[in-house]
Amino acid sequence: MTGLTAAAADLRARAMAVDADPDDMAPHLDSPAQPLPRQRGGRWGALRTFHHLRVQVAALAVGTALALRDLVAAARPDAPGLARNGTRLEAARQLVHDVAAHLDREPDAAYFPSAAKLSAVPLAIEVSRWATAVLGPGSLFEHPLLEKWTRDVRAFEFMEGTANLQRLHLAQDYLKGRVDG
Amino acid sequence: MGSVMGRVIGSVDVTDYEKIGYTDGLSAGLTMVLADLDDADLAATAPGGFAAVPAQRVDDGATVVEHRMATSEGVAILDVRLPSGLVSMRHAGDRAGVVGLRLAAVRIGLTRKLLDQAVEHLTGRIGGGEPLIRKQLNLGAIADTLAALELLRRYLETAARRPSRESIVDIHDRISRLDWEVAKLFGASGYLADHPVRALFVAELVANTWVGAGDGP
Repeated sequence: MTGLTAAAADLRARAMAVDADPDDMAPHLDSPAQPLPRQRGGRWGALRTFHHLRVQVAALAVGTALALRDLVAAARPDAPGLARNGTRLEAARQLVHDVAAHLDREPDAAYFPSAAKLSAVPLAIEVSRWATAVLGPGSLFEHPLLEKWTRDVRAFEFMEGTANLQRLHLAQDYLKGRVDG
Repeated sequence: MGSVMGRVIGSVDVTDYEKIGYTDGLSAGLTMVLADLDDADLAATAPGGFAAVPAQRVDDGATVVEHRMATSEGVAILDVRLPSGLVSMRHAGDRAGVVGLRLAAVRIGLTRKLLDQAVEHLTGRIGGGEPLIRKQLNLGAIADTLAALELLRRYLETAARRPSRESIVDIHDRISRLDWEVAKLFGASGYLADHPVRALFVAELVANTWVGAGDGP
């Protein structure tokens, strides 16, 4: 498997791995009769998993958009917007890295993973529109990977919560004072 | 380019193209858009070497680009690129402008149709104890789409009076962006290849062959 299908399968595998982390399960296994506290139940685990996956989907979006940018650079080195989109994508990559580091420290915070996904996916879609435009009429058939990646980046919108869901998470965490910029 | 509305479209109002996009879909609309172009015109008019046509217009011996979603939508993508070494005699000009304007009208009808279907979808789905159609973010997206469609209809009319490639590309770019907003209203089901919203994605591919794409609002 390659491309989006492989990436999606890898995401699912990672999600299962998070659920099955031996460190997380150890106290439970040592004393199986002792139930987890209510606030550490299934919903808590699911939310933590979603936070991780959102960052990973954001990373997939940035990676696909970088590939689109490289495709344009190879096909049309003088394309307008190459530098602009390169800088935008570098910023998005930095955001994803920062959020991933933050998530390691605070795995229960929803704000930053949602911010990463809500920023990276629309940017990747914008980059796909730019690439399609600067490569001219018929570009989606002249460059089959351009057409594939243009559709791929839109799939990220529907993975682990749509943009509207991320908006709600961001706003709710802001209202709870869980934003530290 | 001259006045497309009066000179080329003639007695056929742009509204007719929107209606057929709404009622009969993309392939039927494309049939109407390309009705007065013969096969030689198709190749000469497509600005990028590929021409999206209704499937029934594919002749034996034509080179067709395989695309499952386009095929499912009744659309074929012809490869009409010239062999390397030959000099292009293409002069898209007026004809490409006419195709671009008519196709935009069909796409507006298609967008409007899919918006109705999205509303039906959201009305039937429950989230948080109420139909998703009552969620403010969804209502906002529907309202934005309707307002954008009203503007696009006028944009199409004004562009048709003094057509320019820039404005036609911009109209299609705005429709493509709007179509993505409509597609999202269906949730992940709107991404499926066998979902009606497929028509919006294929319409974008069709526009890519006849018009190209814009780079932003």
